[in-house]
Amino acid sequence: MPYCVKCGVKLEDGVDKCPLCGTKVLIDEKVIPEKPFFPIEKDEKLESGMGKQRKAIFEVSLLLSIIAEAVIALSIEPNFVWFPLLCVFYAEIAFIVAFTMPKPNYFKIASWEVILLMGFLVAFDYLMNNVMSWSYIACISLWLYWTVAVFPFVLTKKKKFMFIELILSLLAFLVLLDYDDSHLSWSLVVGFPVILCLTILSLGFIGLLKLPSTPKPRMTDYVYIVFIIVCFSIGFGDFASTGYSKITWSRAFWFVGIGFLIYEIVVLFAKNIRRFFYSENRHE
Amino acid sequence: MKFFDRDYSVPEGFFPLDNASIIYPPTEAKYNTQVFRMSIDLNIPIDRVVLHEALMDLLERMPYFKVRLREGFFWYYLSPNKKTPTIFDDDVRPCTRISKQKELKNFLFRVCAGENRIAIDFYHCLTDGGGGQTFLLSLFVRYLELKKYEIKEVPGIIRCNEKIQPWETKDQFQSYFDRNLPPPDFVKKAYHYKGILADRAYFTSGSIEIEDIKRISRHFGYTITEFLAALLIKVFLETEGKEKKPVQISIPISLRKLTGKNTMRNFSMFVIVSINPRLGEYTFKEILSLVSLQIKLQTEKHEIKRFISRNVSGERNFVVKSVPNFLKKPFFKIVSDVLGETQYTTTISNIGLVNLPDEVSSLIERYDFFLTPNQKNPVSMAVSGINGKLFVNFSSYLKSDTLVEKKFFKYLVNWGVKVKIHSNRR
Repeated sequence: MPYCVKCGVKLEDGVDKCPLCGTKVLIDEKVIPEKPFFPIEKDEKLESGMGKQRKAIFEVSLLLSIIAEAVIALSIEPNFVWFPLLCVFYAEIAFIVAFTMPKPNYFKIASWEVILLMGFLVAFDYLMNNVMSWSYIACISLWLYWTVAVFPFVLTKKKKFMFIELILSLLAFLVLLDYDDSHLSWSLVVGFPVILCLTILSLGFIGLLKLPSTPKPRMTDYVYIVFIIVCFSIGFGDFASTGYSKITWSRAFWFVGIGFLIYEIVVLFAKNIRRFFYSENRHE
Repeated sequence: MKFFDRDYSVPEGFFPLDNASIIYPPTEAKYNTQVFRMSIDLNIPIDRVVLHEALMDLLERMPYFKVRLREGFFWYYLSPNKKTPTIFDDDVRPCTRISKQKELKNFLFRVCAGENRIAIDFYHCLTDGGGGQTFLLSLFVRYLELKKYEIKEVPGIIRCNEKIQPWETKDQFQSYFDRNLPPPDFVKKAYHYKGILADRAYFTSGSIEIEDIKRISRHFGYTITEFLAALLIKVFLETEGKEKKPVQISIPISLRKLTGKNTMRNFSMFVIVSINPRLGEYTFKEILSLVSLQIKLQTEKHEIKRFISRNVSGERNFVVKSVPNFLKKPFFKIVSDVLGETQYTTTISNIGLVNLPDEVSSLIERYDFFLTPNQKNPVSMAVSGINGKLFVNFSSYLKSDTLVEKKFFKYLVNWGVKVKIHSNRR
């Protein structure tokens, strides 16, 4: 009969490690393993559902929302009752979805909350105006939020795909915004060129930072690079809006962008200057 | 006849839950299955057909087990279940949730049969350990009778040829209610052992020779229950780091022997023994003496009455009676947390040594008792014994942490006790 040398307890015949401390046990092949005391579960049923405390919170919140809805329905005039009823209903559904989700993660919860918020805004808009008006733009903005700040979380291992997805979602956002009046105008003339400029500059800087001679970028480098890309993109937008003929209101953006670009290139490649500006390595 | 004194020997319409059971259905959840298992391992093979026949005979004799749980407007209640229970294979994890399993056909117990094992999982709202033991042993005796074994008198068993007695279905808590008694003293929050929870329970069973345990507990001068409870407290005191909250063990005590009244329903109370590490270091002897003293104090007849009166007064409170069940449910969960799980670190339940006549006990190799822990207190212990052997069964919801079990058994080994371990941690 095997023993655990650490715990000193006897073990079942045929067991390869101690269940208390995990110490491996030498199996004597001549010994026939004992029938396990605990049967091997044919179907390992895992516990599902909510724990007791979560269930209590869920039930209390549901009760409170039902009571709130009843009080609202009885105390407010019928013409104006729909708005607070809708708000309480949305709040309760949003809470229930987030709270009761099995194995929640940011992507699941954020996705569901975006869908619910879209539904709430559309319902609110429709009940207020009998037609969808401002909620169209709100929904597109929420969709952009989802494509930029939620969906990329499932693509963390596929960075190239994430980058393409971000660019395409920005393009789609501009097109959908422009299509509100049923024809495309500014998105083709200004939007697309700005996104193109943004993409080219981003790819350029990514390539630059990956060069073997480039030192490891710090957080400030990333901040300045983003700032440069934004300045140039805005400036390019102004340039595109005038039919690529002149720069009007965005001169300041161009100047600042060029200034920061020169600074960043110098700081990236001139070690002495980099050392001067980054005080952490001044004493190296 | 007053409502609570009504005789429910044969359930016709509805059958109220006993006072202890009221809290179970609304608080049943993941990590709170409220199921306990009793099982016997035999040295003869089990004939499932005969076992099923024995089960049907026993349910005919004990119709208060052939019930289903229903939710009424004000309370949960039990009503007759006309279906036929199934006997399951012995490949079901002990103490799995009963409420969620459709194959159970709404029965509040699950009978599993292996090659040499009869195991029954009971939902706590049906009965407690004492009632469960009587049911299991009665089933086994009936099975032996059908297999043509000659079984003479077996004390503490219900025979199928006997008539149903009123005490079997009586809610004995009601007879001890006294509205003039003050409630028990408030119990402080206990230390809770924390860890990553698995989505299932793990069990570790240690078989020990009773003579070894008796030798050690006699050496210290205390009973086996007091000794094991003190050892468990010592283990938790060692696992507690800077927290220094009191380690409090909940010990269910059957009130049948203490009051002289019997029933097949729930009839037990919980004694909470507490050791506060902020008062300084305790030797094992000091822990033992405090545990013994606290058990004696809390099982004194006036304290028992006070404990029962507190619980029954909750049920009889006008506001609680008048509020619909769907409003009561979330508050029962909160109350069971505040007045229940927060007050203890773990549970140790000792069903005791089973004494049976030789013609029955000679066929039994093991008698096991398993509890389920809960989310706040993820480790619990159940103890049972038969034929010179003691079985200490740990239940745990912790994914990979076995520190409590390891320390406990290591202490026993260091005191010269031989322990054999079985576990479903693979």
